[in-house]
Amino acid sequence: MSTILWLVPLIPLIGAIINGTIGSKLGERLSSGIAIISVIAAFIAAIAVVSGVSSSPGHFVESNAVAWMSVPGTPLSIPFSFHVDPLNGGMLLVITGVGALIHIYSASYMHGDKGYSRYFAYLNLFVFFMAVLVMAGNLPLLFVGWEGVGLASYLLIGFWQEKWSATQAAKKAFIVNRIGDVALLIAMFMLYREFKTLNLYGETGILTQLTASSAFHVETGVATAIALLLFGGAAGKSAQLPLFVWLPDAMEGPTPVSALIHAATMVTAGIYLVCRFHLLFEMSPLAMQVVAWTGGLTALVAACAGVAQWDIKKVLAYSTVSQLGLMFVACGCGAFTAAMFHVTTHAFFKALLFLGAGAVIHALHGEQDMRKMGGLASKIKSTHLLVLIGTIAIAGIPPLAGFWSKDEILLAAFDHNRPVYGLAAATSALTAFYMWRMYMLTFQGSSRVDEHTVHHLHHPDTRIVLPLTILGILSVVAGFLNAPAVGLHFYSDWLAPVIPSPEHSHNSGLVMGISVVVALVASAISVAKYKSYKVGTGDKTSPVFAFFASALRFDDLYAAIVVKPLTAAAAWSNLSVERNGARGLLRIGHSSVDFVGKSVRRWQSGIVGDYILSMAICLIVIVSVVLIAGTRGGN
Amino acid sequence: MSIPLNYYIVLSMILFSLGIAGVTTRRNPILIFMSIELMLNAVNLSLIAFGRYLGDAGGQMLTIFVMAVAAAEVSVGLGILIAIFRTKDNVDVDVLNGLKG
Repeated sequence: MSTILWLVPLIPLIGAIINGTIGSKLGERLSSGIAIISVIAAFIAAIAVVSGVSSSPGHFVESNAVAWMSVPGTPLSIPFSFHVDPLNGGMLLVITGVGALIHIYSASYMHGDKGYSRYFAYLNLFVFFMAVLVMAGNLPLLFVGWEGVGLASYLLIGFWQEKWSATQAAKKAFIVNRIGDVALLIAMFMLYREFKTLNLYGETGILTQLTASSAFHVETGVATAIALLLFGGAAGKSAQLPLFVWLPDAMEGPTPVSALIHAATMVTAGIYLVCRFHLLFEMSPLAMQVVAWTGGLTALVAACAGVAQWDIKKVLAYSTVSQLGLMFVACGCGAFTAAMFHVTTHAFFKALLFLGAGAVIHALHGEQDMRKMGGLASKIKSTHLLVLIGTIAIAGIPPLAGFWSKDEILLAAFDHNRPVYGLAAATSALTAFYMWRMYMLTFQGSSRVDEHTVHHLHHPDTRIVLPLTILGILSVVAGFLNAPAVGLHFYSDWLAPVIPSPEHSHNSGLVMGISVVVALVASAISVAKYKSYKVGTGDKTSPVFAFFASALRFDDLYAAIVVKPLTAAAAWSNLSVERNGARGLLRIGHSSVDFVGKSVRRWQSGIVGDYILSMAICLIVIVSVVLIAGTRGGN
Repeated sequence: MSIPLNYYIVLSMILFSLGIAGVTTRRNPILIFMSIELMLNAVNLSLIAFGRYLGDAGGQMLTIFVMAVAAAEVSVGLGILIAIFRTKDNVDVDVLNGLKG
């Protein structure tokens, strides 16, 4: 079993190496074939691992530990080791499963791109690092995966390097993520100080020590600090306030990348981290409050921004930020099962929506502006149907997946944190509104596509429709993995060894009723409002709309307080330190060498006689010195 | 009745100095060669003189080596000289200052 554990990350790594080195010579079929097969193989290995987890008595599977780093004389010893339990096993299935579907989709979507094999090399590399992140048995290895997915994300956002905006967005994502990573690093240092180890599992592992909290005592203040720092790292990776600004820009990458990395998997790493350390968070009520409020506010801000977008991918990007906010609301209210369940269902329906949006963009030859869409329902029927399923799922209309997972979150918020429940409920209403807005603008109403494009629509092939169909089916049925209202709780039972199942709540019926009514009303308003949209009618350029469209002007705020001062400091340093300081010192050095060289070069006259004369003179001098020294020494 | 060692050394020194003077002042490469030969033979003379003084055949042996090397050197040198003359039409060493820095 421990061998299969190694296979999960290693097969995609091999695929990445093959595609990264000789991929460009293989041709499209072979290149994408290798990438797809390697991820499917990883998925099969992951299924084997997860079945091993369910059949093992301790509900976990562990790899043998290979020595990596240790400091003699201290307890610090960090091995290469993987550990899979129900929590990360579930994520592993999502990563490799959804990853495989998106690889298949990409094979058609990226057809004809000159960086075809490079794209698949990056995508496989991402799956490798993501697997390392969730399977890591200790924090430094987790950090390797954490930074690795950041790298893959950077490479894929900036995949079209010749596009200025893409490279800028890639840099922005990388730099904003670094801020969170610093917090995560400091959290690791503090954890080592408290627990004298960085291993998560095993007899002395951090999580085991936390479970036996009677034997081991951490002050609440310290626990709060560590929890908040961990959350800082999570907020960077999972695009929460105030670090969410990179995710909307990340849409510069190819659409399948947005689906895989910036919707389904990488951005949920923060939720995973918080759930992994849920014992620590539960020790600190303050940290829980911060998590819940940050999540709630992020959800609402991003939902407001989502309402005012015209770019179909930007709508989905803000929607992702908003849904991630809801997951943190669940974490902050102690409903870690609900958070992880929403991670799973969100992976399905958001990947479906992104891939559907990709199919629309593909059909329209790269058009992303919803004002130039409309009336596509009858033209690309399969895509339309599947996006409709995704829209219903995310809008929270029963019985699709999004309803069940979101309802769990709302219920937890209702029971534990009423103000945050208000934020989350408002977010749900806005979510339903902007998703139906996107659907109506794209597929219904009169066509605003220009004549030429309408007659030359790119119809999706099997490799695009198949992944969409599978994700569509999952978006319909995945909710029943955990629907306590109808007596289904496979998912909470599955997570029970790691995260205790939530107690039954009396408010279940009430919250569910409110959710359904809110979702239906918001959907109805949206459908009515955008049923017959024409360019120039309805919401356009009011200041509020513009304010929402810019995500409450966070980018401008950062430009004013961070980017501008830094640019000014850099310009000052360029002028005074570089040009007048360092370069002046260098000039002294090189001009003195120059001077010596110029004065010595006159000796080299090119006339043989001169050389011989100097030789003779030198010889005489040397011989005289030797002779004089010899006589002295003799005495 | 033999000539004292000092006479040989002084003669050798005079010949060597004449050789150096010739090499440094002459501009015709043939004369420079002759001056180099003069220096080599001055050394040969001192080698033989010391060999005889010490009763050691090594001096004479070394002299024969020097003569052989000198012959080889002259033939190579003259070859180079002809090659230079063919390309430059000139063998004046003061004009051939291509190595000037």
